Amino acid sequence: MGASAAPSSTDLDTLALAVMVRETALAVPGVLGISAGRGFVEATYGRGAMVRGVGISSGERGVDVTIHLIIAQTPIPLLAFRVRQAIRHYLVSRTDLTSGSIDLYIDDMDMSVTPILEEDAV
Amino acid sequence: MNVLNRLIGILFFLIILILAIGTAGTITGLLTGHTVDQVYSYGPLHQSLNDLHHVQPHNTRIIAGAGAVLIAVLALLFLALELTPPRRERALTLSETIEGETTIGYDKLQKLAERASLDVAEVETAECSVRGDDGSVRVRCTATVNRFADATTVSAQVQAAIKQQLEHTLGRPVERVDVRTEPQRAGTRPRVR
Repeated sequence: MGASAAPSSTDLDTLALAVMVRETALAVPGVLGISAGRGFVEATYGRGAMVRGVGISSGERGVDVTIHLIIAQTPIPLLAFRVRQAIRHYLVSRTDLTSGSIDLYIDDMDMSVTPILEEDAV
Repeated sequence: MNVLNRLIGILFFLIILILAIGTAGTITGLLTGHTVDQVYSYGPLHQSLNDLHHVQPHNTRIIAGAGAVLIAVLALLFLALELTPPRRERALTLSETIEGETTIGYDKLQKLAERASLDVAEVETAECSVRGDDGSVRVRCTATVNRFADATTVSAQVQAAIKQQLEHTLGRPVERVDVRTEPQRAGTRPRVR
């Protein structure tokens, strides 16, 4: 499912939102995959389906997101900034939801993957 | 294991535990058919409990009782295992702001430090541990180096490599890197790079 298939805010359910958040995060350079979580399973559940590695909840400021990432060997603060920016941009531009906190868990780092260039950032 | 499997597991071991305790209680006479009748009166059950209590020969009762106790202990053990929440990995919180928090497991940092060590020439093996207290990061590393290399120089290089790599990745200063070098044992094959 690509980011272009985002449903409108009116028919957006939590599961669809989790799918889109996952896809948005995966599109960020340096993010190699989504992990289900380590020691416990983070997931968003819906009717007959689940999205592993992404947690969606409603917080005081808006939608709170928790996401478990598998990343390339790259500066984490920069990557975290990019992922948050991408998810926040998606939430604001494609839905009428406001973004709350976005918690990122780096569950694995693939050191065989060439690090992305810092100059690409922002 | 998902939630449903865990629930089924807990229910299963709970039933086994109750049956084992019931059997042990009946054999020892602590649980009589009369007592059970007060809760649930059912003829065949009453008869079964009486048969179990008067099972002959005496040795069979002892064996059955011991077996029931053993099964109860095992069921209790498995029940405790099922009910114990999974241990959360130790992790370093890199940032905790209103935007959210960013966390990475120490084992990943350990791998990163070991990788940085192995990138240094003359280092054959490396074993590191990373700790973080009060936001500071501390690394301890043991590296096996080529017998003919200058251990002091290699040690300094490993120290610098780890510090640079971790600071680059984490975006925060590494407070301390302790490196201990050991010469490679004679006859050990050198690492192929």
